[in-house]
Amino acid sequence: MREVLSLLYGPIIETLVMVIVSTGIALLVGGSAGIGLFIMSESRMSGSAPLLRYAKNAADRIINVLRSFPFIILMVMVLPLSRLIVGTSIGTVAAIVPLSIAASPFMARVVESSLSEIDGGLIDAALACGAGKRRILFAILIPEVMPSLISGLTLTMISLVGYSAMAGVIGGGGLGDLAIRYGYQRFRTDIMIAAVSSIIVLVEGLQALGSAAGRKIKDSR
Amino acid sequence: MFDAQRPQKAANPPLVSPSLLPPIKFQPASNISSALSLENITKRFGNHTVLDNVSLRVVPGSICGIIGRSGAGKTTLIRIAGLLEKPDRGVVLHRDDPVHTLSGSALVSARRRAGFIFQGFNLFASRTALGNVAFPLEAAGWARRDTIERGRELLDLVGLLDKADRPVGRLSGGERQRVAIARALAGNPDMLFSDEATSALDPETTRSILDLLGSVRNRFGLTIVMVTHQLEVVRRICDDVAVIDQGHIAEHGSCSSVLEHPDSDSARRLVREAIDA
Repeated sequence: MREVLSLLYGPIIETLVMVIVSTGIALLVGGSAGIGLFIMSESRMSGSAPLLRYAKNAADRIINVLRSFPFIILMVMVLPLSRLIVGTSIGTVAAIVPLSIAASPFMARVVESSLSEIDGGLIDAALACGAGKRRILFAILIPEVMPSLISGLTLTMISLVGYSAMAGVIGGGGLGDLAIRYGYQRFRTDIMIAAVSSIIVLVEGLQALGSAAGRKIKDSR
Repeated sequence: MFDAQRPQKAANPPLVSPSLLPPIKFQPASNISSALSLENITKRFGNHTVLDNVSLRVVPGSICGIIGRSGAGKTTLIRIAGLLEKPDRGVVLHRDDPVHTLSGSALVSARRRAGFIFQGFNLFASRTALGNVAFPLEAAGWARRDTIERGRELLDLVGLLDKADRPVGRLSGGERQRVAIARALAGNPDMLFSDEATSALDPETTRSILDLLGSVRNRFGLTIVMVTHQLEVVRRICDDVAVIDQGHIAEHGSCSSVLEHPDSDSARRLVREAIDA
């Protein structure tokens, strides 16, 4: 038992690092892209220039293509990119590159669809208050959709836990790597069960945290 | 003290509870001919012409009602007047200044001089009553302490100071519209636009909101333009009324003349329907 626990400790930390860092990157890159997509589709925020419609269509296509890649294929495809960015294609740090690439378009859609739920009347009211577009976005729209954003963020992180386990297949480290190397290749069923149980606990924990945060915001309204 | 933050505005009068508002009658500025002037406004959505060559002038300090059936073009007209929509053709003047061509920061500044209240209140659920009222002041760059102080004064004006820290989702419909009125007044506007502000309220709350708007007009000399389909609202509070029908102004004049001796078929029909109801 002690051996199993000592084997679990490192991979749990690695999984958390992969999930948290790639979520941060996805929030930054995908979140910005999602805000951009929303602004392009909301004429109150961007006007109604015909060029915007083409730009939005192009951005939609790119995001759809990126989201279409099965993660296992994406991981292999971006190995050279990982090597270029972090200097290696193996290990936890290298796995963060494909994880971020996979999570960013997902996060973009989460942010876009959350913001699209906003009643246009709120944007009218904020405009009538004499607010600029940036203030409307950050002081009104994002706080208004925060419960939905938190729910989407939780969903993204849970997907990333699954993806990070897949990253173990190509030596990405973490609980997936442990399950493959010990549980599968060395027939250590106890370690396989411990690794899978840890992933289940991680997912349950993330979901509970996300739900509690969303509920707290809703209750305060 | 707030005006140190706001170079263009005159000093704000002290705000007190509505019941204590002194009945100061507004003296219109003599150097402007109209608070709002719409000239030959045309607006289309796709192939549908919503407003066709509409012209309207609103006297400074008056309350002008715009009445008509659903789909007549009332909301589009007030959105254009309140700078939330641009006309396809025509001129919009606020206090004789053309505003229909404004964009960027000039448009944002012009919007600060015009308050807007909506049928669905359009309050920000993520903020408290005070947070909603403070928002226009934050947008205008006021210091945080001043926004809170001014926000509380405005909530006192609309009789909701005791609910300042309450989330707007926990207020009644009438209270929400009062918060919306306080928010619309926060920037000390010259004009207040009201788009069916009482349509979602019961008759008693409607009366209290109209009384509040009337006292606000008397106290601050605001010009109020209100779109409504309720003839009773026009009767109770408006000085002038314009009847809009299928994108045209069918009739415009003083409330008494239009409602008691309507010239147009549209006005006659509206009055008859109100009596039948």
